[in-house]
Amino acid sequence: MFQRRLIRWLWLVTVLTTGNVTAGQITAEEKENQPCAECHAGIAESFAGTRMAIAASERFRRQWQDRESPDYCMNCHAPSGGEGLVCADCHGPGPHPYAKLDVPEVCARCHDAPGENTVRQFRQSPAARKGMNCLDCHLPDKKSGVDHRFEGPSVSGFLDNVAKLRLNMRLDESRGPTAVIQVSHRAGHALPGGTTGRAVWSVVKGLKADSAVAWTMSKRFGWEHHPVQGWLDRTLKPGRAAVLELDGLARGDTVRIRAELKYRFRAGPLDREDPREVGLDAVELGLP
Amino acid sequence: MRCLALWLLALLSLIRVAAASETAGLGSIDALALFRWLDTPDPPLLLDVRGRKAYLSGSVPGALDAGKDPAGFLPDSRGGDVVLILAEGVEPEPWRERLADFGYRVHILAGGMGAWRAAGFTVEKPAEGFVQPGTVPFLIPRGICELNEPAEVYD
Repeated sequence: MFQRRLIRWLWLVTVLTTGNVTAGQITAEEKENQPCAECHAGIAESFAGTRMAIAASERFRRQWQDRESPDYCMNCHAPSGGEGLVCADCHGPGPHPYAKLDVPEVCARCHDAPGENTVRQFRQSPAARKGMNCLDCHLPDKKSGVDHRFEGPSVSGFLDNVAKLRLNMRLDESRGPTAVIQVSHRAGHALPGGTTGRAVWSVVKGLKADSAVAWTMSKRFGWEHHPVQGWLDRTLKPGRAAVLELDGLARGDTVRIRAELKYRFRAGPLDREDPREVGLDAVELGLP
Repeated sequence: MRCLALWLLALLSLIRVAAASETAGLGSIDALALFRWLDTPDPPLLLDVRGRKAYLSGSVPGALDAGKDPAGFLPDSRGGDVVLILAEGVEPEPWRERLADFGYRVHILAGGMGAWRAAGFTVEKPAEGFVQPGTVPFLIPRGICELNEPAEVYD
């Protein structure tokens, strides 16, 4: 027993003092040149299923070329080439041991790029004031050190209970019943976060006694591009409810109104189908 | 008999005092506590009941104009906590009764908007932030991020 311990101890001293290793071990240089996945298979596997891993997919590249979009798109979509982000894009080129990532600064490089203000809005949010960071919501099992799934709205259930509608009615003598609506959300950044290609819609419908729709009024929250003013941020701010007032409700045999909040993965109008659309909340109220 | 009458009188007085102090203090919340509550994932519903003119002159961000008349306000039945912004001298009781019928726990912003302003918190003029569908023409740009949808102006 003592001899085996002595041999191990001598081997360790030799390795530490000379840097030499026995067969089966790898050198520091070899370690740096190895694909990360060879040692970090679990991390690589979980990251491979994310949207970031395919941010520059073949379909994306085709559209990017067809549209003659600027080269700088790739600074975020595929900084190292390939079909999306790779380990070094966030963790740096090394060497081991890699420095602990500075979140959210490392995220801001892309999530505050043109067309996004996700991290900027996060910095003004109740979540930031509580000391939370991006990973608290987007990396569900961050404590494991292995999980790299980076969940977002694309993941089923991720948007559950994220936003809330309050539908009230005020009876004005001059204007008739007025719907007074509050839209609030719990995201740690503006809603929708992400790119200009997403939108949240508030849809208010007047319903007849047989539930047929008498009228519809919609409001879009997201990025807008005004012909004169340029880009306008009309997203729902974190920690700050938005207020909508709608009058003219009592028309077309309306007996009750229904308010819905929808998250859509496309910027354009509601009449274009979005198969990934997510209903965030819905509430009904009878007309007095 | 006389002793019993005195005892009942004393009990009645105690009940009155307790009820009065409850009305004065129940659900009262100061500006700082409200500010902190609004900064949580489950903030209360804020109702400004000072009337249209006062509401448009500036209110707590996110507050709804519920009008001045409790009978003219119909809340949804989701219940929860609600904080009232009252005009000076207005009795909260009719509002409390109205909202309690719909399952709400009613709190009063102590000192109203005056206290909120004095504490230095943001005051929002709702007319500036008001969103009315159809009033803002906007354009969705053509680009990859927009799934290649054509540029369009909505009005």
